[in-house]
Amino acid sequence: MITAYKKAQLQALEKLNLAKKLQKEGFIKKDVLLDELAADAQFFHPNWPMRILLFIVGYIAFSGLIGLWFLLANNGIGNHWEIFSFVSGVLGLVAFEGFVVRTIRHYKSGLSEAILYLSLSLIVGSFVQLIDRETALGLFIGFVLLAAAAIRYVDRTLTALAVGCFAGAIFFLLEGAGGVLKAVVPFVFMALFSAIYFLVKRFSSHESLAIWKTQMHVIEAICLVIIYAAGNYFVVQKLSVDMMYMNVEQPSDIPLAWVFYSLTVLLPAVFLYFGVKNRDRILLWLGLLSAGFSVFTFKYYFSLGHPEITLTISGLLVLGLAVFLLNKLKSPINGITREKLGVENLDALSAEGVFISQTMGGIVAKNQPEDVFGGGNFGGGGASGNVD
Amino acid sequence: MACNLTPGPAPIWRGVTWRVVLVLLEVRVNRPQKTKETEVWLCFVGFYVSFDPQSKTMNKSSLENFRERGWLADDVFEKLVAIENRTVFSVFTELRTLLYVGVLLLSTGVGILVYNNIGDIGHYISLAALLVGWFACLFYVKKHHLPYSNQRVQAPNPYVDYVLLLGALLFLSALGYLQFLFGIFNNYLGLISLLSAIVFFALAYRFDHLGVLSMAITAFAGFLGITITPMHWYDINFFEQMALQWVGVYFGIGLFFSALLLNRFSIKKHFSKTYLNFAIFIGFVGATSLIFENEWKLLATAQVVTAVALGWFSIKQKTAMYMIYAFVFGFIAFSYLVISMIDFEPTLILLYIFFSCISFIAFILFIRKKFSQDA
Repeated sequence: MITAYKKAQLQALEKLNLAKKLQKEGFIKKDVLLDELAADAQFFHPNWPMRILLFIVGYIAFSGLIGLWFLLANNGIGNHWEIFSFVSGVLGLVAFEGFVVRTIRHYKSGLSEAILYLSLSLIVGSFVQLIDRETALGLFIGFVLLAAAAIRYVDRTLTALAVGCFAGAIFFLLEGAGGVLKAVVPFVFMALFSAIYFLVKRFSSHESLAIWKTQMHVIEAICLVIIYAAGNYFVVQKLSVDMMYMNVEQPSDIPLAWVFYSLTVLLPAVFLYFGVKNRDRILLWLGLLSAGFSVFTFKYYFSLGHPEITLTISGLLVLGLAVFLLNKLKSPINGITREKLGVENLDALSAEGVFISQTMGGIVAKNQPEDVFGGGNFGGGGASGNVD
Repeated sequence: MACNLTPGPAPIWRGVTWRVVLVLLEVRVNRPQKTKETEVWLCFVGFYVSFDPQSKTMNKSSLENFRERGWLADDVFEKLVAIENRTVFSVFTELRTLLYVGVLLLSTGVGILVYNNIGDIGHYISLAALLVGWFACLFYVKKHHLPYSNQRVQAPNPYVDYVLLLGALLFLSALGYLQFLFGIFNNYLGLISLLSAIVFFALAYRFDHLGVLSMAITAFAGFLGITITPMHWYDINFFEQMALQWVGVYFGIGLFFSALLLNRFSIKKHFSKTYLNFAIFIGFVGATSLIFENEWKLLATAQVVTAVALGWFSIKQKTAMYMIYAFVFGFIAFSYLVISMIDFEPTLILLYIFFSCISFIAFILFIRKKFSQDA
């Protein structure tokens, strides 16, 4: 068993949540009883206001417990803090699996995360103490532990932290090695994280790995951020000066400056292109974000000293672009629509045009009244379950 | 939120801060049905929690199962599958975000442009341009928007909400400029806030806009002297002058009951969560700050009682959100009372923290079925 949770139960929970969502939006009739599904999914997995509440309270409670535990043990352990901390963390994990997962059956209830994160920070902290704050090694150990926990407990935050530790470990390793290795850090990062990105992308649609799908999306997003950062002139220049003490006084520049300038322009374009082409929302979002950051990069180095004019003009351009696209997509093109779809909204779905355009080979029926999409009621009541 | 509109030596940064906060507010505007019941800072958490761009929640085998059970009609099933495998792909959120970013950049740019070039372009031209912009926005919104109703009114097209927001921001700049030019508010600086509050309230109700409503509430708080920014909720010097803490408490109480009253008369019921969030937050922060300034045990007791009442209200409303406030502020006041009683003995304090929180968790898990929406 790789995960602490049984796969079938996680899938049953996912199914129950989908059914609830569909029922709330009106796809499934209100009088259908979901009891059978609820019986299959035996976990307590509340919506996020409740999760936040339980996380806050749980975090305070168990911080208090850990404080008490260390206070009581103060005299007995002498200077074996690392071992004590490690043992406490392991005890915490045992309590987590035995009590929270098996007995009261919480799955990401807020309370479960509080206990899990506190236990793991004790364990990771003990290792960091033990190796005497050797940065690269510490980060690598952090990566191994967090990655193992992320896989076992199916958790996004741990996944993100693990990838962060991995990137940090590689960075400090190369930086410590010095010489040529130090100089090629951006390229190593771009190559390495591109490889990871494509690897994860390949596996993310794999049926047997479906329960880690969200985690794989997190990895994809972070990989794209790192790839962009490694190619961005601003990031590379600042890191060269601040962390590697490279002398880049004017008029000299960082080596291969033109490569980074062109990457700053090209990467967002590539992201956006493939985002639209493959209908990949992660690529699309990061394309938009990185495009914004690229504009910032260029203005930072080639400013004419009138930020307000830049702001005004870019505001007009962005508004113009948005209005242009919104008008263009008034009727969907190849299934790309400006309307809100999916489990969130029933009414856009009754706008048949979207689907007609699909079934009729992407050609939109022109005789549709224009406001067939616009008149929709986009209100879903209350906090429609935005919890994974 | 910096609601101080006086043009001074650093209006730019003030303007920028104001707009940064609006970005956060916009999360509400953009996805109102998801976040209307939260404070702005919780939007971050909400975004993180809901991070799932590829929507794994739609699972084809589950959909097939629902169809087999007879829950989904065949045509609905096909539509859902088309969404699931992305033959139909919506760029709704992306385009709205672009619109918002555009409004944000433009209004910031114009604001700074006007301040930097005061005198150069000609005062009256700048002022006239701002006012014309404002009127143009209002005209557009008025022309396209549906008539007023006490219920929720959906925006008739994708632009109206953003044009209204741009109009509101231009109105702020225009007011600031008027003050700079004529000093008409010299003796009554609060009037700027009051005037913008009135205008924003009118716009928010007329055109059903939660973002402008939030701006109106903060502007009104600004009129009372409270410059609040939800981003600094952790700051103990939340109310810069002592005298304002009581104002905050009264403001919170007043806002809370006006929201309930409006709700009772069914006037824009979907606004009440925004009101309640502001009210609870401002009131409690004011009271908490009073407790610590004056070491005032009676007030701490009152706060505990209020928090318990709010917890009850939260169960009644089936909204776990208010329970978060009730716990945080109730726990602070209660701990203050307990810790001052047990005389700062570390072991006892830790014991108290653990057992009080654990019993609260047990309580919440016991009554969790009451929060049918959230649990």
